[in-house]
Amino acid sequence: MTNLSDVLSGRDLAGRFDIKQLLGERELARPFSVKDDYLGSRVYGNTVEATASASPLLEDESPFILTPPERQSPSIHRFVKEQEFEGTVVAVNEDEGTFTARLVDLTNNCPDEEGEFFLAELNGDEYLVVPGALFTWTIGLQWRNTTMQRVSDIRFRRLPGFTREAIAKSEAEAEELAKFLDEQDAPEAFAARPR
Amino acid sequence: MPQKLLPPAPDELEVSVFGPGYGESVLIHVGSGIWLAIDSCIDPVTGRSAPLGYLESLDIDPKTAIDLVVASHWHADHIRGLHELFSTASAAKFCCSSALCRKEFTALGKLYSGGKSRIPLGPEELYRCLETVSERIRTTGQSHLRWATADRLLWQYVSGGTPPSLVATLTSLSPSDSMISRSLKFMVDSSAAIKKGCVKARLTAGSPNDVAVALLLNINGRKILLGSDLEDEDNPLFGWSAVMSGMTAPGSRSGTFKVAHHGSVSGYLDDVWNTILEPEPLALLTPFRHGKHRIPNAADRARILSKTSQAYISAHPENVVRPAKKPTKIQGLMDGAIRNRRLAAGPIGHIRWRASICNPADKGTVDLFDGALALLDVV
Repeated sequence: MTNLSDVLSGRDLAGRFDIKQLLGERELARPFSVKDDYLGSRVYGNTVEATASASPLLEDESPFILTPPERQSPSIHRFVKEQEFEGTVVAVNEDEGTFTARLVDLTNNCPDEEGEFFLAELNGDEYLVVPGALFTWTIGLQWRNTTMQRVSDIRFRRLPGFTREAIAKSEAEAEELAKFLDEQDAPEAFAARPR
Repeated sequence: MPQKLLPPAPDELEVSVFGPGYGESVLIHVGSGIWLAIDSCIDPVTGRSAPLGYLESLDIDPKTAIDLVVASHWHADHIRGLHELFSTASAAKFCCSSALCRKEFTALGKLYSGGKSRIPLGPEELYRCLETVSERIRTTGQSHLRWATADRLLWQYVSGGTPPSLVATLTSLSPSDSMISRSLKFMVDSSAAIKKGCVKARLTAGSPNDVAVALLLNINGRKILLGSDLEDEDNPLFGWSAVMSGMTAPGSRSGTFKVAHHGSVSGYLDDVWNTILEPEPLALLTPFRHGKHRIPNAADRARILSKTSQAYISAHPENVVRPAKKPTKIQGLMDGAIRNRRLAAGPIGHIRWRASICNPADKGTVDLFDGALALLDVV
């Protein structure tokens, strides 16, 4: 099912989505935590029309900013997700024009997988492909006007996704923990608990 | 009862090495029901920490049995499930490199731990462990943390009686001061870049591994060298060369070796095999299948086998296990987008060595479970 993060991330944007479907997974307040100047999203009756113009900044949720796509057609009316993986780039094989990725199945409870993808299939996202980069690979049914087709879509995420507040908060907590633990180094080797 | 499910006798030493192809964990029974855990990996079938599942299968309560948990470093293949393991082993103490407690690293761990990514990142797992350490210290008022550095005694056990029937010590051999300094620079640079907004969304393993904790276990005079992912760069300040320049390792001679860095050439130093290991040592290792990396490769295997015929590996380093097919229409589209699709890890292979504690001359018995095999049998 399409969820709101798909809209916010620019996945299959520029179409009208059923707000009830969207809100089935997310609370209504969520869209308005997104800064409007980063993502143009408007509510029309019971549908959301979203037109991404720049990277959305999620203030309190994802550590990542999703790269706004520039390749959607304005006539996509509906998208139903059938299979989704989260992936990370393990290596870039430039000679072969591929990258190797590790995949976690987000749809089914399956063991992690690996495989090679063709760089040429990325439609402009190639510059994001470096070891450690994260992406999502979605397969689903897409309705364009009256035509339905099954599509495969790979989208890379990129930082910055950590807000200044999140970084400051994490650093403060981390510093406190580090400072505390730095003083807790046991002065002598641990003695095993008697049995 | 199947042999695998029989726990060791109180006077029996056990070294169990787990590894599914991507992941490594070592679990040691030092005698008298006392267990030490080094690193953790996930059993792909159960999704749980492999050493934890193994102890439970032996009907041993990890809560009281595990005395010490060591995080040899933070890489995802050594740390998945470590927090589950450590939090379950509620009486255990914790050891890792002091470099992993610096705020630059823990801040990344904190940031990652708030995310929803299911890709294991490493720092967040360690951060959770350090939080638990902190809680235990605050709750009990007792020491629960000791930094692992070169030539540092971490843990010891002396049984009652005169003379004591069991004396066991665990000493860290690395990281050296130079390794710690360099790893801090790596972490500072990496975390600054990630926070600033580089394309790379996660901290990736640097090379060489500057935080790897190699360990020397001594049980009644029987020595076991645990190589972690320590590498060498022919510099006496770093890696195995630093260990060989240290105070502990040169005076020891181990009969058992958890081979460093999955048997790769970067983890190999001739001096280690010739000077601080006995001839024909028992060598235990896990493979590393990650992307196109296949370690140990044929040359690595030949090099190890030239040093010992008693070498065992937890899983085949080059096995390809195909994943289950998806529904036809989805599978068709997937096939057009991805090639060489394979499982990242197979079954959790398990090498188990047991030997008498009372008789240091006892060579013991090696049992191989769930795909573990002799290195000689890797074709």
